[in-house]
Amino acid sequence: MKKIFYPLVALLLTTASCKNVLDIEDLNSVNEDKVWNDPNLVNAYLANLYTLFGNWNSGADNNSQQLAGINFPLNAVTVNNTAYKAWDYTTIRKINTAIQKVSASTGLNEASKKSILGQALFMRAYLYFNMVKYHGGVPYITQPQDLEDDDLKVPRNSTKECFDLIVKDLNEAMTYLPMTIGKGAADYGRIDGNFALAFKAKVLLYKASPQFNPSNPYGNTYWAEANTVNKMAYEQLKAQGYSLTADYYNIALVEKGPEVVFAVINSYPNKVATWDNGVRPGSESRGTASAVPTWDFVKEFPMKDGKLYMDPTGKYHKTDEQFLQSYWENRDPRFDKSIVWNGKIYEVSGKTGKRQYTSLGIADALDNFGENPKAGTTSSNRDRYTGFFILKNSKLSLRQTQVETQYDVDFVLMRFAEVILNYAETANETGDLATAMSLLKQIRMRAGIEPGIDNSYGITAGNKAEMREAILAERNIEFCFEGHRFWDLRRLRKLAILNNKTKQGVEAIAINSNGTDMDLKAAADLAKTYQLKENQFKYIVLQVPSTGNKINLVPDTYYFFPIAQSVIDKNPNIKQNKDWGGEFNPTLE
Amino acid sequence: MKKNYLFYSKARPLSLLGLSLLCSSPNLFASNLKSKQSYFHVEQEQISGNVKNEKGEPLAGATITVKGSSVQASTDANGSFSIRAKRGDFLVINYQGYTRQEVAVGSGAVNVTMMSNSEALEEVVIVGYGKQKKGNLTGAVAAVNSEQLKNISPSNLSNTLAGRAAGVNVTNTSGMAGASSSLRIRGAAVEPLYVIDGVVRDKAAFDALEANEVDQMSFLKDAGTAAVYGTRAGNGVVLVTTKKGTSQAPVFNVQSNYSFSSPTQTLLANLTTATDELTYQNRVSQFRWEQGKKTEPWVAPNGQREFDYFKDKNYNANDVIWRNPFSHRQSIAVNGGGDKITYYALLSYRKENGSYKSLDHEKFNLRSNISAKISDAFSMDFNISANQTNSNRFFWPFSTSSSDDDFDVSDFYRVTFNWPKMYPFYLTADGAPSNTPTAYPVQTPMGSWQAWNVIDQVIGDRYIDRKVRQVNPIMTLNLKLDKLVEGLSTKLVGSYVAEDYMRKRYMSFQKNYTFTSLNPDGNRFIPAPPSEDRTNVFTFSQAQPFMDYNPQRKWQYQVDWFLNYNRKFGKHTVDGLVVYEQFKSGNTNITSRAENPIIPLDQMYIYPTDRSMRSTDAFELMDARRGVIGRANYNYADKYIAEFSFRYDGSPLFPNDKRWGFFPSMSLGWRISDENFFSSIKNMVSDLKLRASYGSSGNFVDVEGYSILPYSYMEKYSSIITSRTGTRTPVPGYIFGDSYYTGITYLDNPTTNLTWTKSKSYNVGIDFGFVQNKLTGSLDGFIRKETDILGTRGIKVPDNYGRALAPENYAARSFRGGEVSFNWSDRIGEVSYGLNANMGYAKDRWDIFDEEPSYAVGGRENFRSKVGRPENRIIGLEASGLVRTQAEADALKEKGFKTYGRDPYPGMILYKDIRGQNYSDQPDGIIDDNDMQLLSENNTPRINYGFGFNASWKGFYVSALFQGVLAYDRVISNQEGAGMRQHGDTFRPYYPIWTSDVWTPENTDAKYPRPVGYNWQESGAASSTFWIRNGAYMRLRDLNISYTLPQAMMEKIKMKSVNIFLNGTNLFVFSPMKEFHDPEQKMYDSYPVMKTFTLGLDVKF
Repeated sequence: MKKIFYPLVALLLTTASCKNVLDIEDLNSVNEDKVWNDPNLVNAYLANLYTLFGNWNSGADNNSQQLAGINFPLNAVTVNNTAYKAWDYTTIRKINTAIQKVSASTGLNEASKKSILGQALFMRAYLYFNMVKYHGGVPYITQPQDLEDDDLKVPRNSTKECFDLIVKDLNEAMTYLPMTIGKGAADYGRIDGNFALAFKAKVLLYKASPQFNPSNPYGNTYWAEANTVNKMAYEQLKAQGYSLTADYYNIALVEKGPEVVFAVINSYPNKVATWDNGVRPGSESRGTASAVPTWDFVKEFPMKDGKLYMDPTGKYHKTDEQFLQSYWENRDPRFDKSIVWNGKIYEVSGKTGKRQYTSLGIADALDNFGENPKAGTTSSNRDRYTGFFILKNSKLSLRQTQVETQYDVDFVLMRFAEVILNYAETANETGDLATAMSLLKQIRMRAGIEPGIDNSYGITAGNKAEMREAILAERNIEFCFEGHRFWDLRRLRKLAILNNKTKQGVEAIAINSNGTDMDLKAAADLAKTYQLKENQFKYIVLQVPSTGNKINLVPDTYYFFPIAQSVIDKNPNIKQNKDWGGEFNPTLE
Repeated sequence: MKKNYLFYSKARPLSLLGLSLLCSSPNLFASNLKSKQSYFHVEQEQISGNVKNEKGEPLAGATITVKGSSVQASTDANGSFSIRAKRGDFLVINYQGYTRQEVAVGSGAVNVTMMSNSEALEEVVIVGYGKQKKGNLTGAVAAVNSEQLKNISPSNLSNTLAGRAAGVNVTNTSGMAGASSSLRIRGAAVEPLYVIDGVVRDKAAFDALEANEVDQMSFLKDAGTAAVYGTRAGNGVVLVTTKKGTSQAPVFNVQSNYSFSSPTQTLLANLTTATDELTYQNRVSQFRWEQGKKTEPWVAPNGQREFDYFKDKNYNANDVIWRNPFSHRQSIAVNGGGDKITYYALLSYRKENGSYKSLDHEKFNLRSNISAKISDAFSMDFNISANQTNSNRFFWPFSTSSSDDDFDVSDFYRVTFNWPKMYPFYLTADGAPSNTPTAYPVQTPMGSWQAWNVIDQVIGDRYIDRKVRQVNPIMTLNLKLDKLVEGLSTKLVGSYVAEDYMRKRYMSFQKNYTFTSLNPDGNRFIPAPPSEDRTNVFTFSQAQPFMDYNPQRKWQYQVDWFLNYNRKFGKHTVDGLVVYEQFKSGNTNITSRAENPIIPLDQMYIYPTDRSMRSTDAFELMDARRGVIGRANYNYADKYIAEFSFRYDGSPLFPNDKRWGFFPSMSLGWRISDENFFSSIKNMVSDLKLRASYGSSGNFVDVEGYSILPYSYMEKYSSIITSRTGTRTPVPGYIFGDSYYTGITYLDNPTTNLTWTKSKSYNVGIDFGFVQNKLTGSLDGFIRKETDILGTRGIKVPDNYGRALAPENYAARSFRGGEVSFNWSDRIGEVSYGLNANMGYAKDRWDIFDEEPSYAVGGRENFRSKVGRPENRIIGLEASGLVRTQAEADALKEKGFKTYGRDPYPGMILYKDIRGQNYSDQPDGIIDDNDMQLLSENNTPRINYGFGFNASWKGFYVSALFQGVLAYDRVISNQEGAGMRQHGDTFRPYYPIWTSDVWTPENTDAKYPRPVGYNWQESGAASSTFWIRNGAYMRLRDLNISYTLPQAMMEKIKMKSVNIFLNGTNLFVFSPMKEFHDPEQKMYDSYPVMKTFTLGLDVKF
């Protein structure tokens, strides 16, 4: 009787003796312990964190007068919306996790620990600085909080504490980081001591700036501290071989140039950016140009002698009307290298001799701008275009099919020119006008501005206040479309420059040599073979956009943006900024 | 001793399989069989006879087998047969529905009267891990008779099921070739579990079945019956068994059918003409002028010149690329066998030409099911199925779903109607429009960079080619252990599924020629000759032209070991079952891609071997299950029935100590009609049974209907983030120096105490049969409660925590409803007929769900809350109609009335102002989101029904099935959301509705708002009562007419039967909402529903 059970029992044993069928390994992830004890895995973790430095953004200056667009309609920033909120604790936690786990790791050697900690600490300071820039003091959290054990309802650190902690993190980072990583090194693209120092100098410049010291904007003691570090940064970097790229046009386009302090490396096909797709005229791109320079900004470029066109002392002085009809002549060479205008030679996609037109009836419907009734149609770009396009940093060799997907110029996050101008500013504010002057001249010399008989490069500043304005104006041009302008104005409490302002573009209408309107068909035929030059047009200023909201409103409350109400709802110990209904003082006062 | 020996020899095959203890047992068998054959030495002779039923009617097709041999015969139309046998042989006579008889061969003719077997006649339905007589069911099971499906020729099995079973909601939202239907049991949120021949499979495997290889299909609706499937049964179970051989002379069955489909409504592309579009442009232009400064008089952009030009011109993409779908299917099956071996085999092929050129499907199915009775106690089944599906279509990267697999080119369908009809698709070299493709495809001047050439899109060389093949052998060994314990048997089932999937994509760039006006000052629609200076290359947003392969290799095995006990003790019947089940599956998925070919070609050798132009990705997945299933059924005289079942189920989805769950169920049945006090009315009420069941089961689905991802309970680091829909996104990495460094990061916060959704269901039902069972039916009511549904909690931790909280098992939802079904069958003279009807009602309700505090009862946004309400609701604005006149608009403007910040205009939709800012109760003269309200809780059909009839007279057979839904409100929607959008700006109507009965200054009585070319809420783009329609419909789902050639003729041509049939599906529909689209269609702009005619031939010989 029992024999029947043998095979059955054996069968059961066979099945049961197998490794438990439910014990399946996860084939798609690696466990935590392994990550933090393996230098390669930690490095991969760090590689992901590096993406916090961002990449090219063609709309970086949409919030200033440089580019078209009404970014600040009424109540653009409120406590309830998400505009201008910097609260990236998700990345902070990732950084803090790295710092905590790497410090405790037993599988990593000291050298790699230091290298990782140096980079992570810098990243933490970098992120917190951005948050402080937006909102003033924030909770400065330095370890991954535990849901159960930690008090999550932490209050904001004061703005002063935050600056101190940022500097502390940067100082510590600098002790771990190599001072220089060569442009050809395998680690090129990583944070080095030079970048950390230059960044620390920038942090201290902000700390001293009027944004944080409204009642004592230029007499506060932070300027001296800032100047010391800015001087150090300038001198150290110079000694390390940093210099201004000879040709302004090449700063980013010729990669790994001498001016690059920190760059985010792009390389097709592994990593690409979208600059060209955002700035090129539609007919040469795969979408509307989302960032176009305004007429207002075009006017702000100096003439070739470094002076504005309306400056009666200038060699190239013009009346407004004269200037409008010949704005492209005798300009600061940076103008030619940054802007495309109607009729300008624009040899994109390998098209030799190509001129770019924006004139309605002549230009491609995807590029045109204007209202010329003779064209029999209105431009569909009246609300978004200005008659100008960005040339700066555009990789002209890309074909139309590649614009969207193959732009891979390294994104220059910080360049030596900024180190110079930051230093110029602290030098000026601490009374060293001569240093400020010489630094400013360096910038203008490289730009290609005529030195003039007095070798002043058109700089007329004779005192601290004038120099302050000169430096600000220089930053506006030198760093155009790089995303500095709005933040500079805010830092210096000059948002009034943007407030209540509209924006303008310029329509081009083809004319005969006698000044009468050219027959549009004839003009279009000439344009087909690029025979129509910029001086064969007359120019008319048009407001942009033509419909809807046309005014930017940038009130003084924007010197510090509010903390999102949703943040406070979840953590009532976070106090709102003073100007936004709370009691927190985001300044250093 | 002898007994023991017998046992041993019969048990051996089991040991063969389980333990590979190979020894000499096969010889033992052979000698046994041989010795039996040598007992008799009598001469064989031709024996004739006749088979009748108890009413004296001849039974045609009864099988007669000589016992112990494979000699077989069957009866003809007169019930006569003739067979070679010897005196003393026993003839075994089988006929379905009658008790098997054995008759000894004597001297004369063998005349047999078969007794109908009420038990055998009674339907047996398949249930989890077994079968059950329908009369003894105690839970809610709906069975579908596969005979009803065989003449329909759908590409997917699920498409045939609408209206066939109460409480099973089947929605076929697209008529696209290869599109499947969604199947929901009792209002569940997700698809049920599919079990084919006892093996858990996926929906695709279910859809791949051919209707005529299906033997039986059951829907397990309550946990009383479904709990045996444990953690996966919470949304119901669909069970399918495939056909097996029967003991009869071989019957070959050849089926051949041809289907022709066409849209149930006019295609949107055919509703408008170029002239309509010119009119549209004028109307929008006029509106825009009115809105402007009006300094200069309005001039229509299109005048008589343009209208005259388009009198005979209309460029419709469908003229070139549309084709009405056609499919055909050929199959051959054979079914037969002797006493010991029976077999069923099927081979079928189907080919489908989809609705656009370059859209084709092909399917091959093979099944072979062999059963062998090796000894009285031991038998085995070997069931193998294989199928392959080939799909080929044009490359289309803009599907609304990201997967290239679902053949959802609904977004492409939009292109066919929203494409302007004013511009030719092709030009000749001299600029003449061409209706057929030329070397100069035109880029329509739409002011858009995405303006490819729509025709080239379809007929160009780009493609997505997919082949899926599956092989599924199932081997079953049955051993009766009556010698050990009477009524005991055991069974071992092993199955393996091997699946191969291969997708190849090939994409080339498209060069086209920008449309340029010959004379921009004149009629701008006259094209200039194409110019090489004005070309555009459309890249599909890809960096390079490419090709890629995506092979996937999937496998799964399942082993079930059954121990059955079934015994009658007088009136007591005891049925017991224990099953051990083990399952494991794996998948290897590879993608291999090459870019930038030297010339456009779809073979990799022509692509650069430069590594930056080649890439690959791969991943593997594993899953497993283990479970013990038990069932005990006690039955007293078929009167009192009690059943208890359970599953102890383990899944690796959950943390080690929480893997196992116990899912019990209980049910009771009481057949009142068998009680003595019922005997007096037995003639009227032939059958009446009460049933009640309770059971618990589970599912792995979270609050949004997504499956819980594996290892959600662990802290994980990876370089790939897998979304809940299975999309894999690389974690961004970074470049240092010249090298790209992969990034890794930690994934979602783990749910450390993760568990499954618990589901408890209660069901009560009545089964009845009236008038001698001519009218049968059942009535069910149910409540199902789901708890512990995984979802994100509403508790908010401070953002400075820096990580999203892990979801928790907290939410609860319940489902309530009931079903009723009736069946009437009778005979009037020579006509036998049947009527059937079923109806199901189900409504879900969220019981616990974390929401914003303002959503709470009494809160200002309570109308948005889902707590206490079903998932599918309509929230929107209440419309009071159109603003008909300028005066009306002016009066509103006077009052400062604004709609989302905009001034009123004539022809807009006027919404009711019910609240003010911050949802205050004071209307503020402004229409915005504050005026939203809950408009309907029935945004899903609550009632599904089906009814049909069939009648047969002589060789003619007619059946019809009507199917429909009730209690269904829907908002006319576009793929972007509720309401009708005006996407076309000044250029094109986009949706044909904007050229129909729209408001214009001349047509103030219009049905629809004014065309303004803006997506405004008041121009139509909002969820509102303006677009709500009653979604109820009743459609003739299926009409089947067939004719079977008379028996007399069959004998002449030596055939068993020849049947010709004509089948129509979706022939017509009654619905209050045909205004915009077919009532079953998903959205206004989604792919239309098709009606299909099938002509077929079914021959048996």
